[in-house]
Amino acid sequence: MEFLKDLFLYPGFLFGFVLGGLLEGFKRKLKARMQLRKGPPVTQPFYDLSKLLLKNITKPYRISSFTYLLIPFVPTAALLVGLLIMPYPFYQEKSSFSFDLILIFYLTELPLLSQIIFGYFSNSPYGMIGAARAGQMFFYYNGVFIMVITTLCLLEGPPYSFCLKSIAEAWDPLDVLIKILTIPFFVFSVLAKLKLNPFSIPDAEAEILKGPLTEASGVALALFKLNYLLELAIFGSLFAFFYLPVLKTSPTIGLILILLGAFFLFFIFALVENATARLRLSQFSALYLKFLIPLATLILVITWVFKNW
Amino acid sequence: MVKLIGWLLTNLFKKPLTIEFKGKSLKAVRGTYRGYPTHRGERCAACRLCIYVCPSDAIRIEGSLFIINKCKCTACKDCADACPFGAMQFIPRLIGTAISKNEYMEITEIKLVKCENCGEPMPKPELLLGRLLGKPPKTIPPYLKLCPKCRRQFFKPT
Repeated sequence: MEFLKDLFLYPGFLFGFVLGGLLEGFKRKLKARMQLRKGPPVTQPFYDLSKLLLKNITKPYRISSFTYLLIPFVPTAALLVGLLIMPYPFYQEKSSFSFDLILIFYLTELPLLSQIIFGYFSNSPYGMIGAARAGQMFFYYNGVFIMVITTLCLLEGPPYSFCLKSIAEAWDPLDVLIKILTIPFFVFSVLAKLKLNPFSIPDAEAEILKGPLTEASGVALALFKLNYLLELAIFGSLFAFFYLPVLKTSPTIGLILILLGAFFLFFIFALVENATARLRLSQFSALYLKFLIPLATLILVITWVFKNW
Repeated sequence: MVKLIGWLLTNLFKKPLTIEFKGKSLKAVRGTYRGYPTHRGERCAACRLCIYVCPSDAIRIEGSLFIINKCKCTACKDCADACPFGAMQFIPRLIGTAISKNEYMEITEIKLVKCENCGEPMPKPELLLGRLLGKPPKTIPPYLKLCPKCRRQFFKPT
């Protein structure tokens, strides 16, 4: 009973869904206001989802409907588990999970993998191009993300355990400096993970329609959108855990800090999305190979040297 | 780049340039907006004149159901002009987005009476009389309560 409450109410489904939807709506509203538009209401993602649930499924010819619905459903379950293994206030005291960052990293990759599989499975040329692009991008930004995670988990000192809770509790002056240095890398890798504007290469609108999700419709598309909202909630709160003293204060203030951090991250995203245009795949890989991955590695080495002297 | 970000941030505190859609309220458009047809089942005689005149095939009758497809309707008002009983009316009501296709289908039931002898559905006699006399009738003669076939059987012309 207690577990079901966790799974469906507070750190689980409802919390992730509402937070993700509000973040997406907030981002769209901010983006519109920066372009002097009025923008949709903040609750627009929920309207979209509820409307999609009522729509008919139009699927390509000769494709099994079981697989069509299973592919988007698997990452939904994975992301729910991903929410459960984050040390949210009011939840982390009673939880028996170990808040493993590697597990969170792995579970948040599943939506993208499912989209790639869906793109190839749906037999659509747009889907295949989108899936191929997503598959190529995957290696670059995850390199940076792994560097950021590794740098942060060096902060706690040996034995290194990749535990999110101990990263969130590391607040020495040197730790703060290193954390601030890793913020741009985190933002860039999450931008690419969420396929936001300078890196919206896999689902480039007006170019390859909706990328891997071109053939998704009805409940399947609703599930993909739900996955996206849950991902937004996870990355927003991950930002707060990394860079704000969430677990150092009382649980209520910690929760408020998580929300503030998440909304601040999406403010940055709205700014970056408006200020940049979509890159080509070659420009993207050059940016990551020439600048971001070497710099992230440099910070990792510097951190290791400082921590072991 | 820095200049652009500066513009974006200052834009946040400006008023949006969006101009509101003028036809948001019905009052603003009442003078020019004709609206969409609605059907009144109790005045319909199922004569199918509206189906005959409709240029866009938006109306059809299935059994006793009268169906208007608002997706096809061009609001030309030919049906309302042709209807002898005033069963088609135009109401200036705005229609917006809908969740399903059925929301654009207006389905009403045609209220027909049954012949007293054989039970065959037929239009209301007071409708026909009203059309004939120009005013609603006080009493309805008994032969009008029968369908045309039965009428010929019982009241043979001498």
